[in-house]
Amino acid sequence: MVDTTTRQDEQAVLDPQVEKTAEQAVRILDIGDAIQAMSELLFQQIEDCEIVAETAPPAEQDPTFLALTLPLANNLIHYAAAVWDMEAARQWVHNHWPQGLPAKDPIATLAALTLIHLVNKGSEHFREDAARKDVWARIGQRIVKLI
Amino acid sequence: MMSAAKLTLLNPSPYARGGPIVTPWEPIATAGSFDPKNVTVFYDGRKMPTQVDRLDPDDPSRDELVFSVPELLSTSNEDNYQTESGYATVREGKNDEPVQVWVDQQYTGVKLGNGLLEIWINTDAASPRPDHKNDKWFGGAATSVQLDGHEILDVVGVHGGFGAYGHHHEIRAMQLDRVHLVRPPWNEEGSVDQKLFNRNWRTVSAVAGPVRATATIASDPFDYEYKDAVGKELSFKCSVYRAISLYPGQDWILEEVWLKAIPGGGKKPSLFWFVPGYFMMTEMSFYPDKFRYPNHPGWFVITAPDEENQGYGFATDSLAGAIWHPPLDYPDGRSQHRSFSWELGATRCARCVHLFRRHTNRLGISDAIGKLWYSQAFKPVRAKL
Repeated sequence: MVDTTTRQDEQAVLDPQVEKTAEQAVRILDIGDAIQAMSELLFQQIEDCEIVAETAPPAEQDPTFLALTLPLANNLIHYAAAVWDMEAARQWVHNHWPQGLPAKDPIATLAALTLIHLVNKGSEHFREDAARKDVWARIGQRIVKLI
Repeated sequence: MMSAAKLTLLNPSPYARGGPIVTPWEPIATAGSFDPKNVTVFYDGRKMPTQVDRLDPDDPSRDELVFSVPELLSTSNEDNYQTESGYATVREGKNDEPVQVWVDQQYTGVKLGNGLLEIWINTDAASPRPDHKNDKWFGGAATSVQLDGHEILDVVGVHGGFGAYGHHHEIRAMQLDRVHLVRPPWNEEGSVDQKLFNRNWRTVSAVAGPVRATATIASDPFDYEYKDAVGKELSFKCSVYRAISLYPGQDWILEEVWLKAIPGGGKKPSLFWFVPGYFMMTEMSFYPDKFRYPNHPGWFVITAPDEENQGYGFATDSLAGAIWHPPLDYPDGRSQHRSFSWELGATRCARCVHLFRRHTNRLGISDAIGKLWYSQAFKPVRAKL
């Protein structure tokens, strides 16, 4: 979708440009306040998806995680965004990727970017949490593979 | 004293039909001497599920005999209620058919259920949610519609577990949010819109029997005046009545709507012509699919193409008008994509069907509501003395 990733200390890290693009998508959708208000719930749901993904065979864990979390992000957009923000975001996707897959399915692209943003926020939130930072590191690695 | 009353059954369609039949009870009660709690309809020598519903305790003319017949009625090619399709007999006798529907009247609303569909009709103008008690625009709305245990009015909210109650606080359906009354042409005050969403309603009747469960709700009275042809001012206290019925095993709801006007100083009510307006606030995606035939005002469907493909169908015998999406006066921009409204044609009593379905599409739910429009609203099987 956008630039690839870099690796740092055995841990996958998103390209800052991707993070910036995801933030921009959330800003245009105007769902930042909703994410803030429901952050605990959203983080818990993402962790639940990770628990389910870990029960899958290794080769299927990443797709399982994404199959569970992308609808979550899609639901969040439908729940929290206004229709004019959705229109603006669709237009932004078309302008940002005038050719290629993202423009063909802007809602899926926006869901992916929203998920990236959620995972970034979760990773930041639990950075100092000894019990949960490893979980979020794994989640971060799965998200990197989405790109 | 009669111990039995013969009913003629009229199936106007060119194919066999059965199912529930609703007919006014008062003529039968007048002709005979039945205890409405102790009657049974016999068809082809067999007992049929039967009940007598008192929809409005103050108006016995609204009482209805409801019974169900199997798909045995002979057919007619005339399609005009002229051909007698069969006969049934009303007799005294206890009806011990099982009751598979239920109604639960509570202080702020009434719940109807049949094991498949469960709806909560909020009679209080205030939101049913404690965290939104100051939102007083939920009068007469179905604030929860659960199909097979799933809240269908906000699929994404429920799946996401968003909000304090797992769904958006504004969701509601089947809300008769206003009525339009037209004064005579010589009355310079013209027509009037009476809002009902911000009024309390009350449950005037709640009954469940072997054929259906019915709750009748009535709006708080409002004043209405007009001048008659000689210029005399007439004033009325008006209430909108809705008899909302749920049948066993069905995912649709049938309702009858009428406006009862009691003249000032008088008691005998009149039925006024009026235009009911409906409002619905439900998650149908950003781009819901709305479908109706351009020349057919009897029904329409709204489907969500990308969210579990749930849909809503509406049918009426009183001409459904254009769907406003969002309504022109809807105040909240952020949720406007979830809001829908429509008006009916002028009526004295509208018969309407609300269909809720999951895992469907435009074609599937259109087929279903089209059939319901024909069988329940346009050409229902009838019975007469």
